[in-house]
Amino acid sequence: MNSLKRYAVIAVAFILTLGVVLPADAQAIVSSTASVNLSYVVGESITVTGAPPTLTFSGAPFPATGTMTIVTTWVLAATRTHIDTNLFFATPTAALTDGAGDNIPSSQVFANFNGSAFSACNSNPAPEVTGIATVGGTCNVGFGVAITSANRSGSNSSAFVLQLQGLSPSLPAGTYTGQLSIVAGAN
Amino acid sequence: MKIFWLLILVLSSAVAASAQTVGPLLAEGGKGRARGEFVVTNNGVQPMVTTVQAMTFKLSPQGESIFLPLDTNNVVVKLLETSAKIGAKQNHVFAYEVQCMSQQPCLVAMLPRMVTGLHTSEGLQIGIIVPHSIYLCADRAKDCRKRVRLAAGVPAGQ
Repeated sequence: MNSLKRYAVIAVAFILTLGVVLPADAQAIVSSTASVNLSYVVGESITVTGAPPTLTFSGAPFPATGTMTIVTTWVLAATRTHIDTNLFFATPTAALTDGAGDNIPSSQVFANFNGSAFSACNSNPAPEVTGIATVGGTCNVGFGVAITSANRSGSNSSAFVLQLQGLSPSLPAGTYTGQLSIVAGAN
Repeated sequence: MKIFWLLILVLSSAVAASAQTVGPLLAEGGKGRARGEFVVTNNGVQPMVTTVQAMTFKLSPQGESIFLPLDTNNVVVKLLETSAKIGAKQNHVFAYEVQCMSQQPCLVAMLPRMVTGLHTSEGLQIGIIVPHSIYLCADRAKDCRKRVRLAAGVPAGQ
């Protein structure tokens, strides 16, 4: 009986020893795979670069501004289909005024686009900016680009020159000022 | 001497050049009400004055936005600020709250007009406008723009 007890003690001690040693020799414990969701939001934006604070006219017989190079850069969503820009005067009858009732209408302000022929700024706006750009006060020189998978991020550089034509000889001497707006919108 | 003139040229170019960014360009709202914001960034080196006008717009079957004066009978627009002077290399957040009183979707555009300098003593002052469009549906916000465009007859993918 005593020897049986002794064997039992030895067996238990052996098992305990194995219990201590075996985990060290066992396969590595691998935790379940933890995953981290990543997200990065690229917001839509339009940037217009290069517009000078002011444009002044000089020269004769057709006073003209220097070249204004406007760079429009966009980052758009896949659902967008078109981006357009227009140049316009809010008040077509008085694109420039001396503040004393003497006005230069937008029909006497001409604009060109990348060296093309000059046309009067008395057009109607592109459909994308109807209601912002003025009917009868828009320069027909904006650009329109269809958005495809190839150009959802892109840019356009356009050079504009404005010129005064057909000014009335009776236009009094003075300093004429006005506001020209450039609108860029995406659909 | 040449270097001096080159320096003057470079400096004058830096002063003249300006860049304005508006984003995001689109917001969607549900349950006829939305709180949102858009950011105007002055990337230029001169302070820029921005004034914001709210307008209503509708969509043509070709997907073009037709802007109209704000429909105050159906839309209530609260702009925290309608103008701001934004310093060089700074941005400004314009926050708004729009409530649509109609069961039909309300389409509202915020039109920030950005100019450098307050007045011009001669010539033309240049202003930039980049619209921020808000689509407000009576039910849920998700896919509001998509549903409005479908209802307006705009073919999918256009």
